[in-house]
Amino acid sequence: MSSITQFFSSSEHVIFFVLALGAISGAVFMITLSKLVHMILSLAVTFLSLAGLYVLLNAEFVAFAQVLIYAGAVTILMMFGIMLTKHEDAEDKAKRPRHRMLLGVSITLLFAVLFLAIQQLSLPAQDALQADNNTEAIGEQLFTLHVIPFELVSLLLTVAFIGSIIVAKKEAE
Amino acid sequence: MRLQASDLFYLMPELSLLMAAVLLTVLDLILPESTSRKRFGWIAAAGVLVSGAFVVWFMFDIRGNSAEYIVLLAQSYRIDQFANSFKLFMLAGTLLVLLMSMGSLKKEGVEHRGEYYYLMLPATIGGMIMASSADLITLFIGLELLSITSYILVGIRKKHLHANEAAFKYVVLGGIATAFILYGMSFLYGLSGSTNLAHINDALQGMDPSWTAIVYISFILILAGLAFKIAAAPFHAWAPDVYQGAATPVAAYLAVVSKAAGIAMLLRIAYNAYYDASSGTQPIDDPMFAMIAVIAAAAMIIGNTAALRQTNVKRLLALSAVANSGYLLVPVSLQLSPAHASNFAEIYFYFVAYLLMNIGAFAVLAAVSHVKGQSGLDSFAGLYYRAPFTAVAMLLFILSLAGIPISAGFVGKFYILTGAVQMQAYWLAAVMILTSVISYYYYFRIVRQMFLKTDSSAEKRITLPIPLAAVIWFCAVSTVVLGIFPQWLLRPLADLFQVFGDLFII
Amino acid sequence: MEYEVNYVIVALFISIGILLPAIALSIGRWLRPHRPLDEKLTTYESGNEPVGIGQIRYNIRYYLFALMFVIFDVEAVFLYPWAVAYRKLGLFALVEMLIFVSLLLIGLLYAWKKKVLQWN
Repeated sequence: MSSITQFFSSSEHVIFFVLALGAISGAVFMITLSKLVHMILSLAVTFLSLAGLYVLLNAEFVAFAQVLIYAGAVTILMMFGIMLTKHEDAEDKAKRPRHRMLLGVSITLLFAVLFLAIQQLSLPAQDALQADNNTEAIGEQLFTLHVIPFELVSLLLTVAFIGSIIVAKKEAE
Repeated sequence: MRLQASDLFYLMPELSLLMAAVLLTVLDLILPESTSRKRFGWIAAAGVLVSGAFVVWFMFDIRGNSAEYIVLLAQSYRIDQFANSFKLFMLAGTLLVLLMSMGSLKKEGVEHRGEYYYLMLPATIGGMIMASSADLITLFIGLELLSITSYILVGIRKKHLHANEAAFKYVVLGGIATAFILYGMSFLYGLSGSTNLAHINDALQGMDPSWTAIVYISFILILAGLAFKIAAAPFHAWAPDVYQGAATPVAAYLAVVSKAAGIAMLLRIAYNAYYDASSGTQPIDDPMFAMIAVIAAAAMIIGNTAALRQTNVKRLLALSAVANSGYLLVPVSLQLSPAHASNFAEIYFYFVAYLLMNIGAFAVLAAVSHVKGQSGLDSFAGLYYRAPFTAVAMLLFILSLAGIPISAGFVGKFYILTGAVQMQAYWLAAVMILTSVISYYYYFRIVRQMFLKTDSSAEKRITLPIPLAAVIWFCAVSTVVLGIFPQWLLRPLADLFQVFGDLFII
Repeated sequence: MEYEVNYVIVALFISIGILLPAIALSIGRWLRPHRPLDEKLTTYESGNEPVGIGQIRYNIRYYLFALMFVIFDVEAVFLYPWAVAYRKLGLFALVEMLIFVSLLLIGLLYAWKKKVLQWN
């Protein structure tokens, strides 16, 4: 009990707890809710909470990118994607109890393995990161050390762009 | 550490493909709709040839300078013989697929022919990057470039119901596999604080015993993701559907070029990041290679037995590709020892044999299935009477796939088998022999169809477009030549490749 | 520590932003009379009789625009660190960014020529 009060005595921990709760519950609701628009909104909650967690870790640029790309663009894209489908008759499929139980057991096992592995991990202490200039630091790395992947990203985006047009465009007939 | 203008020269193989792709895109936009896009194939092929010429030049250059490797940007790009030979292989595969496409795209029902050609080039660039990088970020971007382009190429036949289903399955499952790889990579980065494979290896070699579990988890995640990409069992379920839905040249591309890129990346990560990982004094990398061996065995067994009941030739070839992933993973799993260090030569030789027989078989399938508009086993019925030479070529490919002597496939398999026995992996060798014998059954069903069945419905003789015929004959002749004179490839390989510097980073 | 204090302001701002409409709306609800009628409960659609439900199937064209938005959004994210670090990187970074943008321009050109941007 005392360890819990100790945990919540630090404001950073409280913020972490709130954000983690947001991220997890958003993900859970995403799966369990039945209305598609609600699912996407809860996904957005997850994305935003993750952005908060990044801020907590002093990774401001990542947080910013998370908000811009995931909470902004990807959520909108999914919304449109779903609006394209015939979603009015989203009925419940017949539940397969054995299938679900197997799934539940394997997920619990996976969680247990990951949890134990991370629990026993001891990492050497590292220098605390400076938050002030991390966008600049990323810029420097990106345009010197990682310039090849950077240029490849533009190729990747172009290919994805052309590809999505090929696949999604209505052909005139 | 930055890229100098002079370093661009070493990127020429990729850049020439990129330039060809850009040129084709611009041409496609300028030319009116009515102009045939058939010549695009030749431009793409020319780009591939130029790129190949640069790769060969670098190969000789490195050899002449007594193994001076070129490393750009702290290993995020390496020009060593490992990369060069894989690049050459992928370029050869792309070239053959392009030739094959020129003769068959229209009949396959691909309407976006211009796009088809300029999407295939970035896919190959992605594969080449995967072979040429020793940095997680660059490897991952290469993988994504290849994967995303493959999804589009599979789905490019929009009006084809099977293709739609295949593309959708491939995107969803491929995306999950990518996520697995990325998750595994994130652990490596978290532990070592670097994306550079050499730094990761340094960190893992003297790691804290408490890291053991997480290192295993990261390896399993990456292995599962890559096994999906190379269609190794038990992560192969997508392969038959996707191969069936994709246009035949695209299926050949997935079977050959994608697989080579996946294996190259697996080799890089397994041998450069995880090799010799040890906690304190306890080495922990043996179980990892044992996992690869298990996947190899599973792929051989599941691929070959599942193919027994297939009646669709494309699905059958997909399952045979699963089995072949198994054969290819055997030398990957064997590790290296003073007694046995020819893993790379084994993989590469088998890959070359695999390229010849597989692209050849897909080319014959492309030729045959057009006539009947399907790819059922009976489309081969009486092929010998309709197109005797094509039937003989197909027979050669099947002999090679089954691993019958005097074919490249036999030599490749035999070579892998000897390696397994040398490393005392007897169980793996036993699985390999047993499953090869099983595979005779389904391979020879095709032979039976071609020579023993007569097909009354199709009297028509098959005439092949010239590029397609050229691919078939090139593959058939090379399969036999490599089967009789394997040393023509093995000796240069042994000459070229050194374990230190090429496979291991120094 | 000085730096983190900024985030307190951000947090304050966010909470005010959330609270303000919530309070305003609840005060309104609390003050106004509550007499629901069938006409009042229908969706307001510029005075027209509302037809069908709101969440209908969209035209695929919207999706293409959303896709374009995502692609250029990702591009924009790469522009920020470039702009911030530009002074340290110099001319070389400019060339790199030009290559990056021009490749994407080809994609845009493709969309334009294939009449994706046209609305008819």
